[in-house]
Amino acid sequence: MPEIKVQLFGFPQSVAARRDVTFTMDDGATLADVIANLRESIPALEGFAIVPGENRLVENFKFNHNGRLVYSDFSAEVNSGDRIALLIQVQGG
Amino acid sequence: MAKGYMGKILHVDLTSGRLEDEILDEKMLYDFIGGYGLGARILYTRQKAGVDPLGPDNMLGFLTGPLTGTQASFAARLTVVGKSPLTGGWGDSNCGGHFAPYLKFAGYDGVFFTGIAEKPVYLLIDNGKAEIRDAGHLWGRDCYVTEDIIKEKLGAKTECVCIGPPGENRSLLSCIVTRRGAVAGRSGLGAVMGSKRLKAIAVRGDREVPVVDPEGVMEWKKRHIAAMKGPAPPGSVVDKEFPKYGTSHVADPFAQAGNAPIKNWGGIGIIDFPDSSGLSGDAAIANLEKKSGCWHCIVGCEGQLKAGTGQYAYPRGTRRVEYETQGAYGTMCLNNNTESINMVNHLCNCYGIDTISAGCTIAFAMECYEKGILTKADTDGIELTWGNHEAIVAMTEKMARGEGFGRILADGSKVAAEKIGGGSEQYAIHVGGQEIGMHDPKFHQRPGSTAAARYQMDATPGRHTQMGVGPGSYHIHIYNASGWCLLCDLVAANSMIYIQGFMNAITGWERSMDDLLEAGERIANIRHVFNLREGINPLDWRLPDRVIGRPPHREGPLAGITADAEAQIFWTLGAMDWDRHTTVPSKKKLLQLGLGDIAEDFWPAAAAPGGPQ
Repeated sequence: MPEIKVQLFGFPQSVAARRDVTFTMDDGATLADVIANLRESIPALEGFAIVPGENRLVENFKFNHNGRLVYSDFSAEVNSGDRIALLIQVQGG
Repeated sequence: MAKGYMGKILHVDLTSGRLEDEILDEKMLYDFIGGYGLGARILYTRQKAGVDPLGPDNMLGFLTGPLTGTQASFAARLTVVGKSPLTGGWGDSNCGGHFAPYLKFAGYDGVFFTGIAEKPVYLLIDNGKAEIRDAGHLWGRDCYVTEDIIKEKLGAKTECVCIGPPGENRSLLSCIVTRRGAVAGRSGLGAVMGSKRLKAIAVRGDREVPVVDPEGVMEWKKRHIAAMKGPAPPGSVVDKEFPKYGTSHVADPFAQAGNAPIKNWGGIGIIDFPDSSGLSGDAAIANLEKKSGCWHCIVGCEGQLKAGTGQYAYPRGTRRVEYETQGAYGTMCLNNNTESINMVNHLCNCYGIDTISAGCTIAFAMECYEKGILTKADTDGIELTWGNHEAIVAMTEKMARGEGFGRILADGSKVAAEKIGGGSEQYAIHVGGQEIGMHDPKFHQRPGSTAAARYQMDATPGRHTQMGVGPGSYHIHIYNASGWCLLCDLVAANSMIYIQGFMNAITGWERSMDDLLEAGERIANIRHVFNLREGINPLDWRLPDRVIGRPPHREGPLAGITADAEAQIFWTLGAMDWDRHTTVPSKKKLLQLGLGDIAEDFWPAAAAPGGPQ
């Protein structure tokens, strides 16, 4: 059963008031399952980064999953040691 | 003649003193709209390739757009154009303030300068009447004092753009300033102005900008305001905090999230700069006295500070910082000291140097110092160590004054590296000579992104304001050509719908969205071919490995990510129908855009294709 750590950076970190969260997941779990766990363990992220009631990210949010930025397809399997970061896509000037 | 325009531009030959009006051709306005679209068309057509950017033959233009000075929502922007001494190619920069509307109220859509004055001068345009005036009493003065003197003489309803001593000394980082901090910063066009001994332009007037359908304009404005007040649409970049902070509230989270470059593009925020709280929005406005804005802006995102009372005694009225300055002088230098960044913002605005390039050049010098390439003996005793805010302020002042080691840095990191040698070149992070904006393309890596490609492929390399390159950025060219503020996207989504509505109501044209975006494509092409004609192929420019993540970070939010710059460029060239090796637009594309004369230059009938004759 993989142990998955999700790091939070920038605005997600501020909203969640923590830098990371770790959970133990079932074999074969995917990024969508990671989102489900985030909804449960950090309720503040629902509505902000996570679409309410769904296991997908609000548009403008993304995961860095092992060096790949993932915006909308959360079917990738996750394993122990995976690097997963929750980021927001914003613009400055 | 379409409305929205005053119908003429002014040509000033500073060598002979000759002033001449040109009535604008409506087809040229329809095709290129205004701003740098019109500017690029005029420079390409009337200026030969190969001119010295600091010589008499370089045309320096100041342009408005058809929305400027009307009741359209964000209609106060000025564009400056010319051949850039920083990159050797196309140069443009943009600022807000009040000057652009007042240039139109004074009777002109734009003004172009050629030649070199025998002595320092300024131009006055007073309700349609232009006059070259002696500026001997202004030469050597900073931008604040210059503007004060001009307004004292000509009255408070005068608007003014000017350069400071760096521009007079032709520093390649010098810029053109109005209202103590609205700055046309990039491309080194302040040096072009200084090379002409042109100290300032002053405008005043009360002419009305003609509008076809004033009620229609107000209707569009109501709709736009309603959109701004509504919820931010999903997928937009609307930022509800923007009216309060401008862009000054994103530097802190960007430093931790990976959007902001850290430590001369070589660091990682959470490791090298874990405390960036001094760059927060609340830190930026802690000493705010009042908010302000560009002419008739309905947001008013600017701010002015009270006088600094601690270690850094910046004057009352110093502009509140924006993100790019917090990046260049903060995250790039590992500087978390708010007041020092307020101070350098004041110094740069007062003297007239570009905060992005200046801050990045100091970051370059810091890395050279930390790596032993530079010593205190080189840097006039200033210890350029990471995060040393006192050193940052002191060296910025030296750059602004052109003193000591500051003179070495005053032309940017590329030139400084050439002078310093010793392996410093690897730490000069620029593209084509221009330092890069504060947005890490690795952070924006996604299918269809051109976040990396834009730094190499835009006609003004290193610029972040084009947002991208290729079809995804055609609308940005319309923003610029219209006289519209780029930051509109932070306030409401779908800006192009409003621009289209305003433009049709103002000009009387009935332009479709496709037609406008084609104009944007046309503008992208003409800026690009200006460079090609100068012998510049952007594929010869190089995106530094640090910028694209080669090798990628091992830790932090961008761990494992390399921006696929080559792929982005490859697809952009295809999308634009530019040759994948020479980047020359195809003949078919040039003809489709109505650029037949340029097609003849690059695809002459009788000779081998692919180059201007």
